[in-house]
Amino acid sequence: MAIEHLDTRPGSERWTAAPPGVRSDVLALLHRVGWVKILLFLLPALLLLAVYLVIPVAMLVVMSFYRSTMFGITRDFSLGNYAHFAGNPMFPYLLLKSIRMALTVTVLSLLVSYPFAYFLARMSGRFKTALLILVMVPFWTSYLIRTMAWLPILGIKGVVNYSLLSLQLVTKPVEVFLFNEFSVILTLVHIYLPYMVVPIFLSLDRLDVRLLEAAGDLGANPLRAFWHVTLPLSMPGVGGGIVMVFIAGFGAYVTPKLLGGSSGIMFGNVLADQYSGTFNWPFGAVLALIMITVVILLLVVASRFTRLDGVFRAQA
Amino acid sequence: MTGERWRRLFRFYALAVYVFLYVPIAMLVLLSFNDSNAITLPWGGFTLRWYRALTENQSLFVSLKNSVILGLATAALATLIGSLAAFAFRYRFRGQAALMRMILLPLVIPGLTIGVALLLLFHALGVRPGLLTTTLVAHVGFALPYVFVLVSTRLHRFDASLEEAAMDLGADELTTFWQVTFPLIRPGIIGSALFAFTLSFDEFIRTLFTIGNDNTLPIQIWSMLGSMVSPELNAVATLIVVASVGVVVLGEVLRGRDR
Repeated sequence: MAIEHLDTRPGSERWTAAPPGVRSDVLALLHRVGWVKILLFLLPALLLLAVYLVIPVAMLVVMSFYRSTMFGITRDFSLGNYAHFAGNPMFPYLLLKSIRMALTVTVLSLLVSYPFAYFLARMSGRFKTALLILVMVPFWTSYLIRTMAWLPILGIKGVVNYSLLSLQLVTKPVEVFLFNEFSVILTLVHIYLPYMVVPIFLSLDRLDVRLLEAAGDLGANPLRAFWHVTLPLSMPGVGGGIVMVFIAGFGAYVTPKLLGGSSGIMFGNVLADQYSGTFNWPFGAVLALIMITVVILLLVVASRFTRLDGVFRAQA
Repeated sequence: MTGERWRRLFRFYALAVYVFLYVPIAMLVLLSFNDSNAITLPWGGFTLRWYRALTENQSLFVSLKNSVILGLATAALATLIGSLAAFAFRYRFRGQAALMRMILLPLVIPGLTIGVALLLLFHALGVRPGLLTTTLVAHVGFALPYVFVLVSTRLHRFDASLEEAAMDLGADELTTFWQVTFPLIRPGIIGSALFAFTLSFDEFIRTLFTIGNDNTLPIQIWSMLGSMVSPELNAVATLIVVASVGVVVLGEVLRGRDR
């Protein structure tokens, strides 16, 4: 995350579309160059999008109808992979379990982040910027390393057990800290917390204090003012954070692989296994498409409640 | 409760969150200096031997070199492509909103599915996986929306009348660009290039499915994680944390000076 969006002047969200009238002169000037130039400017990005997103996803769709046999991949149209998914209770179970885990991560992040973002937004001046940067610094280091960091902490001989033993709170090392759902969820919250803090902070920071004063003048106590003014106005940030954290948690691969053991395994691990272990590419394509579908569904639902432009902006 | 007590409670709470965010990383750094063969506590005294061991790890150096090369190539290409697209968005054209959504969409598609899909594409095309072919495509595609947002923000923040003034005074479009527009958005461009470098340097999952024989640093660490548990890992991790944070701080300093 860059700090570009720290600027919360009223005009700064205007980049989504040039405002009519304001810059009409320069727009008229720019207009002369015509659409050929626009297309030339866009061409590299369009090509990249085609190669990076559009064609690969189309390949997934095609591949999902092929069949994997012992002789390789057979190119006859079949719905067998979808039937395989629906027919084996393990896969739908794993899908639901991953959604549940991602939801848990999202809710926990929200509970931790909201008061924290509220605190940050209430700070003033330079201190506020410094504290916000402190939230984002861990974000600039690889998630692989932030995941790895929990191994020496949660393990049987880890820091937590070492401390518990030294303090004589337990008599033998506790095994429940690592290689299960708990360690995966804890680590995912740790890794993706900034995704939740930053958008909530931005929406709270933008909030016009005069609205709260007005609520107070009209007789609302601070709790009522929070409930009826602050909370509704921070919803775009909350929505953005929920979307970001859920998607990151649901798509996790590294964290459950490294810290999940067998009980903390997630959808992404089984997906990846189709390409590295069992080599069932067509079935893997089905799993990948299901993962993308869940994400798109979430975006569609979320976009009914909040403006997703803000989500995207907060991420960069 | 009074306001003062609330504030104190909040302060304490915020401190706890920072502890949660930083303690694991701090622990990693601390353990990288631990004179013990175990990857964790107890503390066996201060040592630099894990860093010394790193200097003898040839494959680590090779992967570091690969990561730097890839990061530089990604930064250059993503910044160029993303900035051009951001420029195009200053004009109005049909389908603008839809295209914008399309450019930003990769931000929310899980990297794992992108990695797998790219694997299928390159396999079907018969392209052999390679650092500056398949992996570069994956990394530039990954960095594109970030660059686009950063440069767009910059472009829409400066006063367009400066450009008008230059043109009124007789400067042609190219001169206006190099003399007026570019100096104004340069901080955004530098910032996004550094950001793209960091994104590429830390990228793992898209790399995993598109990499050939030339490992990047994260891939090398991943394979080390599978094969050995040694405090050497803590030392590598510490160096990467320092490097990543350093690059971003450098970026902020450069941008701040330009502001």
